Amino acid sequence: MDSESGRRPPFRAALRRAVRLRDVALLLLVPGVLVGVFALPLDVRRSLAFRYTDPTLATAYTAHFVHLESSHLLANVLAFLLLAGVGYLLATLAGRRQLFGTATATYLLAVPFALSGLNLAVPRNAVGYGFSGVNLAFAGLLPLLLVAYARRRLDARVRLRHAPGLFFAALAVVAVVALPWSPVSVGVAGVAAVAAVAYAVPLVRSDAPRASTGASTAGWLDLLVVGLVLYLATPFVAFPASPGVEGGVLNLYAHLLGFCLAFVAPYVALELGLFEATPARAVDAAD
Amino acid sequence: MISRRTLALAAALALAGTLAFPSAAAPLLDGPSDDVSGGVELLPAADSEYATIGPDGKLALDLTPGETGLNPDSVTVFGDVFYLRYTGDRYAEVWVTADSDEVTFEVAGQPVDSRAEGVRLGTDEAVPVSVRVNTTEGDLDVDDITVHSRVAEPETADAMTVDDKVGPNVRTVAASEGSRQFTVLHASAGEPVALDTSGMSVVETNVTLEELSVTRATDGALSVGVRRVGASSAGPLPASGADALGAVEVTTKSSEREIRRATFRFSVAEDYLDAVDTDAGDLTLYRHSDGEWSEVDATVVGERAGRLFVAAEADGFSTFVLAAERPAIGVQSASVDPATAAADEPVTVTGEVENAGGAAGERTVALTLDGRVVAEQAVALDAGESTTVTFTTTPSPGEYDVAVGGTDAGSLVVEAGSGDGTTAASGSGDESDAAATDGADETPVAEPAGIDLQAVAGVSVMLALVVATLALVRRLPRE
Repeated sequence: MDSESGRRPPFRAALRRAVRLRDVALLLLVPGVLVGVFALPLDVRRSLAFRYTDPTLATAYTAHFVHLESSHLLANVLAFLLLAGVGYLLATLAGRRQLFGTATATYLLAVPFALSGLNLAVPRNAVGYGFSGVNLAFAGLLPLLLVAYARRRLDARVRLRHAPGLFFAALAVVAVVALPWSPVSVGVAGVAAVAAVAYAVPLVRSDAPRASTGASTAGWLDLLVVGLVLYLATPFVAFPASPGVEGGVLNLYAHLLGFCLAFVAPYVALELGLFEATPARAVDAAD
Repeated sequence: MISRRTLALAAALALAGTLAFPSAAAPLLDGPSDDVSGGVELLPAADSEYATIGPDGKLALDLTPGETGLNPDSVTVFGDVFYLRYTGDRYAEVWVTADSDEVTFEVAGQPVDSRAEGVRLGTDEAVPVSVRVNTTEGDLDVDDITVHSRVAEPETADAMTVDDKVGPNVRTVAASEGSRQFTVLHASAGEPVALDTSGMSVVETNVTLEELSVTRATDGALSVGVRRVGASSAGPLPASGADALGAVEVTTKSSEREIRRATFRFSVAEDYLDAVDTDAGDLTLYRHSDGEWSEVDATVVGERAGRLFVAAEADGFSTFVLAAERPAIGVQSASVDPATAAADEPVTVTGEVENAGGAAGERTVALTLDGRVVAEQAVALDAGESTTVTFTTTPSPGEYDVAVGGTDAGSLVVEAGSGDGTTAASGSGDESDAAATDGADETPVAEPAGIDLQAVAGVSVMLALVVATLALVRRLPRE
């Protein structure tokens, strides 16, 4: 794995050097597109939604950028700013800008097709639309970014192989809050919880030295805590026990698919060594 | 014919001190009286502390109760101390004198101390008498007052009638923010008497009682008290979900049978209706009488300066509650057909939805299988209306507890087969379309991929709190 080392610079200075205006502008394009689509006439927006009984390749993609109600749009824009924003900060400070950029492009360009296609596996007379499946993909990336950030900036004992622990912890929460109480749901929650603990145990028992040294953890630790809280809160808000909403039913299946796909694919890619971390000195150096 | 009667005028009128003015009008025509010959009787005002009927059956006046005394060097008027009533079957001219010029008697602000100024009374007619005391000339020495009466034929009587003397024969007494007291000296049968209650608060300044119009069944006097009471003082309203906004209690000393009709005119601020989320058409006046509720028809009769005027007519007095009707839409019964279905066989679930409230409303009714929402539809119902909603669904094999809007529809067993289950459900709010319909032709169920806005906002706030807490903890002294 990548070697993590070096002094921990002041957080604000590192943040100023790492965040790039171009990246922020590109990320803000997404809410812009969502709002732009919302500005289209209602009939046009309806025609862009994905009808499971009459699927087309175009609507399989466009449906994920369509919102019919302003509250739906606002919630998804806010969720995107939180998930993608925190994800970007973690990634860029962990030297994982390339991973984040590739993942973002994949989530925005390919994941919509995957989500729509997999929804066809359960045939029903329904119509799907909304961005939160893609939002949940950004949530799925968070475990990888959190461990990469923690290893680079706070504690070198944290390894990529600990990320599935966070992933399974979220799955356990989903099973508890979203599934009806049954032997199956208890079993799923139990297995996920055991898996989460199993992945975390090696970290607790590790006697390797903490490699990160230097100045205070001020700022660095804050971002980690914010990322963890956001990540662990996501399954509670994205998988409500009563998915009925006015005029329809929330597509929690799309949420779960987005979350799982977005974790598994980049995790495998990282394990295969397809992405290299930027050295710490390069991250902290002024552009 | 002239009759003469001497009355005791008790206690020294010249004592220094302060006298409280009577605070409320007298409910008059009950209680003991002092019969004066010639068909005229004297009655102490029921709430007057100055007049009593003594053990000897005579009216006694004590204008200095509790040794408070009279103000020296001043003129004091004691309002409505006692009543004069004529019980004969013709007409009488009545006047009252004392053995001192410093004590005079008045009816409706006019002196009645000579035959020329006497008050004219018809059968069973009564008038309140006030006493004016002048202490500017020094001490008083009064022992007797005298009531004079003379039978007057209608065509020859030249004394002033009550109507002539007092104009509108309605007296408003003791007006306060939330109460009014009225004395009607003579109300004719079948003729409404308007009692001006304008500005009387029912719900602060938002709801006021502007007028109460009373119609007597027989000729006679009338005493009416109106006061604001707690909106829930009469207990829960009979209608489902109706909200009591305010209440007034109307009382009379007269027999209920003598009241033919009472008409209320309320004024309601339109802003207030918005604030309590109701329409003018959903306002109802409830009457609580003898432990039972009845509904009084209320109609909007006008609109001016941001206020609505609502009129309601009742056939008697008691407690009246102004209420805002609310919809109360619920599923009364539900059923599933068939209870056992083959794989891929459509199942029809129906629910009887009723609006038991007094106002029209809407509600979204959900079909649930084992508590999971699989379809919803909006139902709009007028007050008292009911309808049938129908869902068609094709669940996966298994056993389900089916419910419509939280009302149990029974169990559903879907037998194993090749089908992997679809739920294409929608319903009809129209009874004519209540039969099961083909799911393929129905509007598809909306399946938005979304997150609750409040939940996302909640997470944002939580993150802000986390950051703030960390910053605070870091500022704490280390030692």
